[in-house]
Amino acid sequence: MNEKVLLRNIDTPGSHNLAAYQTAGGYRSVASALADFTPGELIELVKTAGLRGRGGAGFPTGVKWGFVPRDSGKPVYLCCNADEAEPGTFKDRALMENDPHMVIEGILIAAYAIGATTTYVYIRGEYTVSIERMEAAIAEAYSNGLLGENILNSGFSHDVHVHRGAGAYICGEETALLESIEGRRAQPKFKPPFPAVSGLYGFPTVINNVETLSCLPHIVERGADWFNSIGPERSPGPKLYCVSGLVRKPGLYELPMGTSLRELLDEHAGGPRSGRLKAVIPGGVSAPMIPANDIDIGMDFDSLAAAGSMLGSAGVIVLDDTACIVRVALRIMEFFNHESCGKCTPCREGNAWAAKVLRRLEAGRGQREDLDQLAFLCDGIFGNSFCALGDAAAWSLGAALKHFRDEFERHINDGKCPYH
Amino acid sequence: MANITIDGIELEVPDGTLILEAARSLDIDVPTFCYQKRFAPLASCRMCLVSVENSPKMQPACATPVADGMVVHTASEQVAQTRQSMLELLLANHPLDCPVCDKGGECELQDMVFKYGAGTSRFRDEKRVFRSRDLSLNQVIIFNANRCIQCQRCVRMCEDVVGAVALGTIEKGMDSEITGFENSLTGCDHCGNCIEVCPVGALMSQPYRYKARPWDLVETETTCSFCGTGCQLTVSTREGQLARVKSKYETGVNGETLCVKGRFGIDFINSENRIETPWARRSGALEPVSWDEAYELMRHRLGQPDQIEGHRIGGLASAHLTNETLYLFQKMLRTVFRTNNIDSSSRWVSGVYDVLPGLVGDLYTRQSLENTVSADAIFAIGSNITDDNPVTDYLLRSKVRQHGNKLFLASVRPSRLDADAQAHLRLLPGDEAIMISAVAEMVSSSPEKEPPPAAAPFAEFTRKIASTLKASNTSSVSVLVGMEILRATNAGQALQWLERLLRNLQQAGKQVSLQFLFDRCNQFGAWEMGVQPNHLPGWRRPGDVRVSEVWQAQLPPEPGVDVHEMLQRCANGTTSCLYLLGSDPVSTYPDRSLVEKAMSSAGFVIAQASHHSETTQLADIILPGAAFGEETGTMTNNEGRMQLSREFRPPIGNARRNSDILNQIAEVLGHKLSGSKLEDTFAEIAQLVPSLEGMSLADIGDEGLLCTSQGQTEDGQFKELPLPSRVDRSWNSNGKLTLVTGESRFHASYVTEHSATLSSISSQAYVEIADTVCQELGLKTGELVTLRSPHGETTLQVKTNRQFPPGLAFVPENFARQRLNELFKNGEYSSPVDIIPNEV
Amino acid sequence: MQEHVKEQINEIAGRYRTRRSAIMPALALVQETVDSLHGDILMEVANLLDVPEIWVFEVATFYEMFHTEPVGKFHIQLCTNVSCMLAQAEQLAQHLETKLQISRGGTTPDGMFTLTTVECLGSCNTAPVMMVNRDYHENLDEQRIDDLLVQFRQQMEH
Repeated sequence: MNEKVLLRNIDTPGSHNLAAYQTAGGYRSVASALADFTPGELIELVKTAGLRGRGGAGFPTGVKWGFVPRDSGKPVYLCCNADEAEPGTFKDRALMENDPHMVIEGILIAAYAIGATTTYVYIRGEYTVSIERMEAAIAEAYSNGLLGENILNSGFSHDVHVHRGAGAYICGEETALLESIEGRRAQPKFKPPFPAVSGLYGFPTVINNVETLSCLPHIVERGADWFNSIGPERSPGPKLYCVSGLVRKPGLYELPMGTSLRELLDEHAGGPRSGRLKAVIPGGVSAPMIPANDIDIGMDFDSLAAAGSMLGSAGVIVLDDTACIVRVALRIMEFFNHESCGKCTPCREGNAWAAKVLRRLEAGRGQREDLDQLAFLCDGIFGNSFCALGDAAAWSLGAALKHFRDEFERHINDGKCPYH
Repeated sequence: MANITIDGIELEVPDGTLILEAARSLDIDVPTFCYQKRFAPLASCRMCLVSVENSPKMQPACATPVADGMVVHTASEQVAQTRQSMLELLLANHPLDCPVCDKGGECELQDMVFKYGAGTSRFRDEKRVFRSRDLSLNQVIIFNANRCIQCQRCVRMCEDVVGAVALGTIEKGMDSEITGFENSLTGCDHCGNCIEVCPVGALMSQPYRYKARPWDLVETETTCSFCGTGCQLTVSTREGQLARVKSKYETGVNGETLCVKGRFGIDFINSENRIETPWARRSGALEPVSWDEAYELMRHRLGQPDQIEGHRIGGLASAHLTNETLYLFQKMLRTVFRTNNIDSSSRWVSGVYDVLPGLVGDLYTRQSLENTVSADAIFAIGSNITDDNPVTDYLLRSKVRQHGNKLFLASVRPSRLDADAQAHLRLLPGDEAIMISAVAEMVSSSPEKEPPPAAAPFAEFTRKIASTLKASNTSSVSVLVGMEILRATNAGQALQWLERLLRNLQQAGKQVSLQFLFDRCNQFGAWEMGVQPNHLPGWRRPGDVRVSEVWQAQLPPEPGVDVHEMLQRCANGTTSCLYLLGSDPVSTYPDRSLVEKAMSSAGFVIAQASHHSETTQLADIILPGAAFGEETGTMTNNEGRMQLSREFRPPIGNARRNSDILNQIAEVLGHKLSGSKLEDTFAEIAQLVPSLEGMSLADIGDEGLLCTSQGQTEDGQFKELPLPSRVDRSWNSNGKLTLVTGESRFHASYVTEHSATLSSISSQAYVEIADTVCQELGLKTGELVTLRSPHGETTLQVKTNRQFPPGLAFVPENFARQRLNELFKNGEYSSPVDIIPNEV
Repeated sequence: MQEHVKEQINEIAGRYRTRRSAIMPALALVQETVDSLHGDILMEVANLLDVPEIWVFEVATFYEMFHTEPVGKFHIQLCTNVSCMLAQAEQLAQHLETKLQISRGGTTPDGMFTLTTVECLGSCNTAPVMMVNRDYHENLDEQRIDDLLVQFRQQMEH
């Protein structure tokens, strides 16, 4: 399958406008959802389709929706997680900038399924064009009866608001995102209770990623079987892959879930820039790097998890043989240290400590004990931090140490970085 | 219920129990920093991680509820290793400056490292340093960010318990720092609870700074001497000198909390104003005398014992004194001077004393505050609890926020608790009676009666509260009664209607409890000890046979007169002697000209007190009594709980213990009051006060002595009560405001004016007015105005308040030099006033 | 704070269940009209939203895009995260430092430029990338940066 689904409108001139979207058949799915489905049937459809969250965790979307208590009398909220900040990732930005109405249509389908009255689209503040396009599209949708009261005469009403982020990676974590909408410092909250039961303002809330929501109009239009037929059985569907780094053709690629990493790199992205691959970070910097020998692997949730990494946000960063692994590991740790919210001990203290050691090591001032310190820190952080941010920091460093220990040792032995 | 196993021990615990609670119930130690029972779990410090079988990750015991069949390990190698790692991480950037840290020796981090730490650190890079000098956040709080471990106990205390929302966290990650707005806490409550809960030396007390090491301190557990909440304090002295006041986790009604007054105001005992020797007036001027001279003078002036004319003498005692002192005082007046002219407050009239027995005897349920604030519905009337009883405010807030029980507030002044109430009502002094009567009528009638026309302005509020009180899922109701009610001229009527409301609720099958919100620490004790004209100890009537038997004395058969009548009689010459024990009516009695006339007309005024005041300056003889902490005795708090107020240093100078002075005077006058020991006095009290029957001083344990009583239920029809009418406020339409007075957040009565620390926080009276009124008058906070009542005027600063109702003006009654009582007449609590902006 | 900004903030606050939720949008709006989110302005926001001042202070300091100190007319935010780093963003940062004669985090004395290095801007396929005020500039090299600086200076002159 090389048919474009999520990116089908991307090259259409003015694709972000309502007219273009409707010309391409847009908003028919939501009309059909509102007219032909009960909310329960929609949830079943999405469960059958096997759609799993594209934000990184890969949780089955329909199952998540099913956790929302029905008819509790409480307001239900939908939040669209558009805080795309995982380094190496730019897929949601592409969707919002070029096809904002597809996102809105997905929002409406999800909102109807879970009985939500209001959606907040949490867009990272740096995405100024995404914010403008989404806000414009929302305004267009309101003035065309696609948002607001009694949408398409279905009796279903829904409001959508953009909530602008202001520069904090942690807001991508769903409970931190909710805290941020509530006007607080974005620090993750303890679960349970899960947001589906007690989320925004203490009311049932579902948080779905932009790409996840964008799949919905297509599932409604073409059915669960169609969706299920794409990619591997347990994580089906079309998928956006963001390829960057030391690669000949960086870019955004839509391919079936489970496409092999080697195919993605060599057949679509033109291969490593120097021609000699060293490693690949497959799912944003949170995902442990995979050494060049192991890239015959399906780019889907389960295959990558089995290989000790993860699909994450599908931000594929290519490292050819000119890349210094220690430097990459340092930059990643600097990132996690900078973005740690400060809540829990291991992430707040451990990332800073690891960054200090790596900084020294990369500059050629490392000692043998530093490798023990790093190993201690990986152990101390991983599994003990409050949320996945600390885990990711420890996990990605751990992979670098595991696969490329010799590079760390060379920095120590040579007293300098062998690459610079 | 859930069956779980912790470290091989099987146990059954209620669903929802946290692993930590379950483990601690087995005395299994699970270390924590961020957890404290009063706060919502945060699970951020990760010290309490434990292994749970079949769970891929370790779980924070402080936030994870048990599940049936759960198997938990808290002592495994993995758990021990994790604790060690967390401590090593915490110490990586900790300055380890224990030798110069005030917390050294009582630091949780220090203790934890000693118990669970590795002893060495691998960290060898440079530590993060926020700043090299500590940051002074206000007069009492100083902050060292480098030592902070981000447990957020201070922030949660400030926001969720105190409700001040002054502390917060700025920046993120390793730069996260606890602080106030723009690095200042000048606008906060200064309660220091953030210091108390800080596990390390990050938030520290300025007054205690570099004063002592914990191991050099002698600690005394005692009871706070300010308001009626009755918090437990730990007073630390070093070489006999007061070093600091602390609270202790899960100790006393207050747990680890205290208010600014209790934590920082005790230094009033060190004031220069202390009376260190007896004084006597000779040829018009006061001069120091010896105790013998003083007693001899008293014997001379009071004549021969059998010639003492009871109706020509009156006694007024402060409700800050201990039960034993107060008991001896009234016993002396009744047996030596043979009078019932005794009172304990200069701020309300005696109308209340006739009504009180019905409320106190039958309905004052002597429940713990914890139980009282746990009722399904709580109705608090007549108090700005945030200022009057701050710790009661904290407990109410944390309970209501955690459990969602329903709080209703009706008061003259707005308070911080309004935000947590289901509904709140602003009323003017005296309108409590009509409002309560409306609620009582609505609760008892079915179908519900419309509120009477006079209560129409309160209709929405009364309807809301009545429907909650009547609701079938409201099975328990607590009523909290503030001082605004007792001080209103129609207090008696309000209390009668309150009693009716409670009985109506009882008849409807609700469990009711009642608690007063006293602003004086032992007001309840003073009443029970018989420091009132209408009742002997234990609410016994004058002429009570039992009292005569125990005292072996003939007692005056008729009730005495209250403070107001006493002053009138002094002023018109029918009373010639006033005995003032610790009270300062010249500053406090709401009619300055009357009290001054009374003092000058009375032939002989005895002032027994710890501090000089305007009253002592007008006395004929001044007897220096012990201050708080210089004598031991019991106090009865708002709950009805008896607690010990302990001596932590001897009386200063030539001052003596108050009970000793009373015994000695009686002896000079040829009487014996009681045995010299506290135990003896207590035993005698227990013979007369029903709630103490069979008790001895030794029964007062660490938690005090609370003899809970169940309210008596009365069956049948109640007699018709006259409907109260609204108080005339026609002046409000003439542009005048209604002036009320009361406690401010930073002071307790006129006592804490003597506290250097509290005076450094707040040293000036002010008048608080609605911001809209200020705008009309072109006034800004800090500008001077003159407040003019029909009786007098005073000049002070304006403070605008967005929450204030437009017709109201409030002045704290904490600053004697303001001579606030010049604005009042006849003891009446509120007065119409004009606000006159001062020319610049 | 200008009246129309207040109105806008009040309108936005209506989209949420609590006024606290409007702190972030309010700060974003106000920031467009002032040189920095200093204490007085934070207090005004707190008063307008009727929330404790510390809540506003917390939000203003937690999020990277709020500035409690003044920034230049052109705020250059150069991404140095992995993909950009691999595309020599570090050299570009040094180049900018030399050209502007300031170090990272600094502002030129004329108040024209502030240089910050930032985390991933989500444009890794066009690395190296920088954001100047609201606009992205992609596929950078030293020449392009020099051209842009000239262009910015010209913009200011007009």
